[in-house]
Amino acid sequence: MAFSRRNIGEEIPGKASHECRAVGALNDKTDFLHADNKKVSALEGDFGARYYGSTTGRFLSPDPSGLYYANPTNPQSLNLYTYGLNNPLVNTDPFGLDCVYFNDAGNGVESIDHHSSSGECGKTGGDWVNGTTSASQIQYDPNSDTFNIQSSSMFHSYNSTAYAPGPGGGGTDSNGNPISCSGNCDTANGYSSSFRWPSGTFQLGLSGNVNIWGRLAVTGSLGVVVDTHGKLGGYVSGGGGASAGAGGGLGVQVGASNGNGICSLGGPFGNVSATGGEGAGGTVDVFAGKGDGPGGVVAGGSVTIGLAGGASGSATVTDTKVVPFGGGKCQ
Amino acid sequence: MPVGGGIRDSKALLKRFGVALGILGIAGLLWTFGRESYKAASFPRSPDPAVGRIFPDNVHGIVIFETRSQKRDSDYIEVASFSMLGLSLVLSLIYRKRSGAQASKSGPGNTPTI
Repeated sequence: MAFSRRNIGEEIPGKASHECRAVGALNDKTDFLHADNKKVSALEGDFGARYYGSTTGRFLSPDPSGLYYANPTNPQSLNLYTYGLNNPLVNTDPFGLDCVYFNDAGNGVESIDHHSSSGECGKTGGDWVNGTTSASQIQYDPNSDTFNIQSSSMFHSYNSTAYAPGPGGGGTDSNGNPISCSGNCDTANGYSSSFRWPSGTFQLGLSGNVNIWGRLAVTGSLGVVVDTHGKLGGYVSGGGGASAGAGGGLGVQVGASNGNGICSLGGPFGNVSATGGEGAGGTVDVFAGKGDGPGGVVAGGSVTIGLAGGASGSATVTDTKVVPFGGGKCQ
Repeated sequence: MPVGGGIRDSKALLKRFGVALGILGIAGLLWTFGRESYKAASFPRSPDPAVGRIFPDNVHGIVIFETRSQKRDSDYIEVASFSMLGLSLVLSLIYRKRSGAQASKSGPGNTPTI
């Protein structure tokens, strides 16, 4: 099984990001894509996954992949009765149920080529895994840059790092075969390569905290977050907990975490913070939660500079929602 | 009953109610924190239609799949927790405002803390 980048449809450079939809088992794509009108119109009948009607120039049944590959920013992708987003000169869909997804950032590109080889895969910048799979068995998570292949392994889209959960690593592919690991392997952590790009997030926003009823703390923050993969999003966070002291604060927050992406900040965190100052002051906060960071923990901290109303400390639980800019969502 | 005693009673009731809501809200958030940590460690990371685990949830970058009822319950508790915490905050502001008004009538040096 190969995951390669820009190996289908790349012959037309300079085009915007696009994706191709499934059409069915079209054995001779050349006939369909580059023939004259007569030849195209002669293509009528069952293409395996879908039935094509030449009279209407449309498939008579919807794309069997449904809205799985729908892109909210491209309304054409919601039309399940067309081929290649209605633009066959740009988009190809040679194997029916496969999909080509292009991302200009280079971190979300995926394709499935059932006719590749390990050599070709390497030349086209793909990652090679023993065994086969299908589109329905693969889910790409744009938030964490990982491919989930059934339940036994994942694929990092950046540098061929295959992750295999389980004691001592050594996961299996969809056929139950061990994932091949050549070169510098890190089986202790389940990665086929010991090298990973450093990951992290950086936050900038507004944050405030106030102590209520003498012993309870309420916190809140919102702002923008960017990760080391270049993804940008907005976040809003709130929470509460126990406090000591009567202080509170409000100001500009700068923070960072070891999360793999901006969505690593989504979810509940345990926080410990301290606020000091009268008038001008600030808050220091550290947080942690189980996630996709090193060791399975996403941890970080922040500093808020602004107004403060005395000294206080608090231990809180916060819940954060992250919305990626430019489409997509953190589930 | 004197009017001042009635005000104090309503303030005390307000405070008790507000504190209770705050504690319940924080307890809900704590439950959410524990539940999400458990999900990240135990729930499948790919959909399992056979048992209805087809609804994705992001836990700090880890996408897990849960059933509709599991997702719904988590969402309800999350929303309820924040609602109670928010209401507790509002009540504390009301309490503070009333206390401030009462303190100004009573004279300086009698301002209670929230």
